Amino acid sequence: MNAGISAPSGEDGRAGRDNGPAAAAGIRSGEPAITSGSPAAAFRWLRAHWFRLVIAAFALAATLVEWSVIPPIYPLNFLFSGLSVVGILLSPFLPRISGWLIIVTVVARLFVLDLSGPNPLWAAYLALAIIGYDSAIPVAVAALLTVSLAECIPVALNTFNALSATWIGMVNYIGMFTLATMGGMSFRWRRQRDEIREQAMALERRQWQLDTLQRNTRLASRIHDSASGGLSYIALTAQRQLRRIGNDAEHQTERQDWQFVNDQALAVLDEIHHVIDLLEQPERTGQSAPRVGRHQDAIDTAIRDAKAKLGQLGFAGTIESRGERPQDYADESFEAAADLLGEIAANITRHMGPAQGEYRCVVTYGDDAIEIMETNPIMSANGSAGLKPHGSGLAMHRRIIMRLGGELNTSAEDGDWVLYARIPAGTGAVRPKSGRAS
Amino acid sequence: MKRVMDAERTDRDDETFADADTTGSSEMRHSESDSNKSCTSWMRRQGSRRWRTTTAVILALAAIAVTVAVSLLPEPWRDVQSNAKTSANDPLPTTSEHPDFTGPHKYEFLNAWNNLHTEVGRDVLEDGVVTDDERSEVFLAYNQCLSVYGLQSRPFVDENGKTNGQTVVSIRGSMSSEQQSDVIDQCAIGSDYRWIEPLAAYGSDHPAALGDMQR
Repeated sequence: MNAGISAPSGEDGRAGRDNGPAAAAGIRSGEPAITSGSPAAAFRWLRAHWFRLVIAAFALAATLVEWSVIPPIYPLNFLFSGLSVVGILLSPFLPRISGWLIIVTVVARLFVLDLSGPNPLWAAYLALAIIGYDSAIPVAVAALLTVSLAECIPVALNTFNALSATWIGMVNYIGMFTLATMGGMSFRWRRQRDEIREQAMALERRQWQLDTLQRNTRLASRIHDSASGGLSYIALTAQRQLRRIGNDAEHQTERQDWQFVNDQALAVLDEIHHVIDLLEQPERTGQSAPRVGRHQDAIDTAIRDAKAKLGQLGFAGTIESRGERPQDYADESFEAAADLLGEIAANITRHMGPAQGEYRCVVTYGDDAIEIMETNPIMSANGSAGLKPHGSGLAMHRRIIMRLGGELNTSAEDGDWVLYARIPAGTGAVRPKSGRAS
Repeated sequence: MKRVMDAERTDRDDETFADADTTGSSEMRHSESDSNKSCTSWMRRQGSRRWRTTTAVILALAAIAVTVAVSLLPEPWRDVQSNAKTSANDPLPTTSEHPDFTGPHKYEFLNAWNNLHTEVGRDVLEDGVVTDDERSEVFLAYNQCLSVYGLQSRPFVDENGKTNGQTVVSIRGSMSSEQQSDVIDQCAIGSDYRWIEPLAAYGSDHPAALGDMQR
């Protein structure tokens, strides 16, 4: 079943004007009411149209109760009352057609001169409300005038089926008709206001994404022109040196060093290209870009890389992991831990001399968090390795970890650098402990 | 091969114009395809519009026919208000044959018989006794007559909890109390409620119910 209940195309004369989010949610009238036969689509339709169903059910119940107590006597009255009930039943699905059908029956019953049967006012209020909601203002006013003027005819003719014997009494009824119409129109205006707000928010969001993308594009260009080019020269230089150096045992150590330089330059170049790709992608909401080869084994890879780098540079120490690595940790947690390990290794090369001692780093997998504990002796300021620290590396990692709900603490006491990080296993569920998270 | 594909595409666009020129240039074929598309779209719109107009006309004619046919069906109690104005009272023609009512209330029964307006009333009185079901049937007809004019009759329950007569309430309409009174009287007469209701008080212990009815 493709369309369980659907409105004909002619029912929606202003389909082109209703393109808001609410319209996409199925609130817009005249659109195919249930576009798919699946239960989920039916449930979405019910959620979007529950108020229509409620007021239709109320009008139907009132009408049927009155019908059962005072059934229509004249056959024409029976016919028009039956059509009115049909209109009420169809009102949630074909609002405008059923609304006008109800109005026609209400007007027709005025000329039957039979007051038995259900009270037509219930259906009339319903019809005016749904026409006020679903139709343009002139159409709603036309419906209101139709009903009001029609109800005035018996008063003018002084027939017994008039709503009121006097014109003054008709003011109340016309006021009720107006209220019903205005009620529908007010709901329509409220819906339009919400749609305009959502559209403005979406436009603002898109503008922000566009600005971010432009900024990222500039950043990517800058990174590509500077870092990427420089690293390429470094890698090419290392490769040229590898070709020049002989393959004998005498130059084995020198060859290993140039090979290390080449590998590091190429690895960083890959990483920079990945960063450039990320910057040039549109903003993704709620998820990070996938990275091939990361996630669950990212920590093991980071430990292996850090050991290799530090070992190649002559640093002594250990990096070990404890506990079993759970499979249900969030990818963001693995990546945050792996990136922090890389930053720790880089900091060791900057702030610790190879001959100063040993570094110690332990990665512990807990039930609900990854803990990283690292310590190493600090080199004095005048004995730095010649690498100029940027000063924002750990701060960035701290922000990332705190956004995940974890913590990152550092201290430098008695010549030793101590770092402790706790990264929650999942994201979103745990909020930052302090209010400093961005 | 390309010509064949173009021809197939043109065929898919519109089977009516399937004989597309497959030997011309691609631009010409493209132009013809667009022309065929717009022509097809125009024809579909025209067809859809014609179909809708035809459907609307058929539905309107059907609605008029049904309304006219239904309006020809009998409408009871139509003349109650005018009869009330003119004081018209047309009982069924009195015949020489009537049940031979006996007992202390035989004259009330005979008077009621001579004033009956409906065959239902005669069926009720024919056996000389008014049962509860018969009384309910007449009361229903009386209430139906009232409901046409926006009135309803309900049994009146006194402060002792006993049913004592009836009360008529206005639920809809704009009749004055005088008009309501006229309609109530006329409905009571027209439905025979006026004559049957007092006789129902005698119940099934009426002597007329105990003996054989004579004609």
